[in-house]
Amino acid sequence: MAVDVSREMAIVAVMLLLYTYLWFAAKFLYAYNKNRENTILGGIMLTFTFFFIGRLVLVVYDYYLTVLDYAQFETYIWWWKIGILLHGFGFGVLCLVVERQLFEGRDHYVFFLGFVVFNILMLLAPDYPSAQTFQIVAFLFTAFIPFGYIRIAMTSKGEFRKRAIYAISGFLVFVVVSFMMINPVVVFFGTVLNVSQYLVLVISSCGQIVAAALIAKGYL
Amino acid sequence: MIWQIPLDETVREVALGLYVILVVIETRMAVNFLNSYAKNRELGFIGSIGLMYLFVAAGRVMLIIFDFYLTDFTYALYGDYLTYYKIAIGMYAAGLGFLIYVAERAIFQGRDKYVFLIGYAFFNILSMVPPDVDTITIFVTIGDLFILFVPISYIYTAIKTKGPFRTQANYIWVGIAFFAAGAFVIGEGPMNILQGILGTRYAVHIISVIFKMVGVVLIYRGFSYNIPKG
Repeated sequence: MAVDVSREMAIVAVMLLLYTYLWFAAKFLYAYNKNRENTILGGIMLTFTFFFIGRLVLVVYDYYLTVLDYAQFETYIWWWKIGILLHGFGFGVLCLVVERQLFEGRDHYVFFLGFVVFNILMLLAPDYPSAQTFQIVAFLFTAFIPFGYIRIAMTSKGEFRKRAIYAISGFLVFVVVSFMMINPVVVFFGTVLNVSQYLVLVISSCGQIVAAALIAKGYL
Repeated sequence: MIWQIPLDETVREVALGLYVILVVIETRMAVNFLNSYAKNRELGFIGSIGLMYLFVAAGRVMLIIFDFYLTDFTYALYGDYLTYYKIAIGMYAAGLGFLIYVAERAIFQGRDKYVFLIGYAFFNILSMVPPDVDTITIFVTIGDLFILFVPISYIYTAIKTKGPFRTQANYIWVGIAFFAAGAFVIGEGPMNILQGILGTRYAVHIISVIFKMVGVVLIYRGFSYNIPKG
């Protein structure tokens, strides 16, 4: 069996990412069980759990069904949609938790609803490019999260500020590494910078591990 | 569809990923124990357990490279990388040596002159000499017999004591049993039987690594009773 080391590195990195999600889900579950009144902890636990399940589905899609061949993306589009949807549940819960924390329902959960609507549109989209566009637009609705925390960091002091900075940094890292996964960006890395797709995935997975750790540190 | 995925390649990659996760878990535990030791230098055996995890993790990294990339589990190639293999199992054995030291010191307080540790060290040093894998395996296996003292001593402690001591001892011996089971299934005999059932060598490694993960976590839980809280 010919071994592609860069592919195996990417798989190892993504398995470490899965382990990180599971680890934080367990940590937040433990923290939530000790303090049932703090629903934020329960929410973040669900976020990491859905991230784990969604990523697991996407690993099968990326590495085994399509083998990162763009021509195959359309063939298994439903697999991708389910993966993205499950991953999106995680973001949805996070969006809801943060929106409740920041606005206490005064904004009628407009960001969360926008996120849900575009995820439904993503499911209904007939092809991969339009589905990915809807997914990106849905993702934009979560942009209020770092802005909300920037406000907290600017208006508070001590522990609150520190936690807010951790959360902001986590989200920013997450956005950057998620952006790297969008197909035109991957193509850009490949053609202009001569970086293999698998190396992009290694960097992206490592970045997501850092992001998850920063987000967790912001809440635990 | 999903059933068209090449099983051999997938199972190999999952096994490799799980081994790396095992290394991460072991390293994390090593850091926890060594941190606790750095804060409280009187807890010498906590430092030893930290070193055990560290050496086991380092040995495991070398064995991953040996198994997956240098030889791809091909026995005929083992001889080509013999020195590398000896260093890897030497690191691994050094880690387990710390476990014997801790158990022997806890049980006998040095009255037995560390006979088990010396026996274990002797056969592992001897295993560095032979020029073939078979003889090395024989010496390592004889050396491993000295480790048997560790779970037996913790089973004895679990029977003789009560309360937190019993719980701690139970965690440790059950952890060692899981770890040993993980090591046992990749031995040549069990491997051939399980490979016949599961179809691929890598699937047996997945079972092995899961057993080892459970083992290291339980051993950690057992010894972490001695880490002061806060």
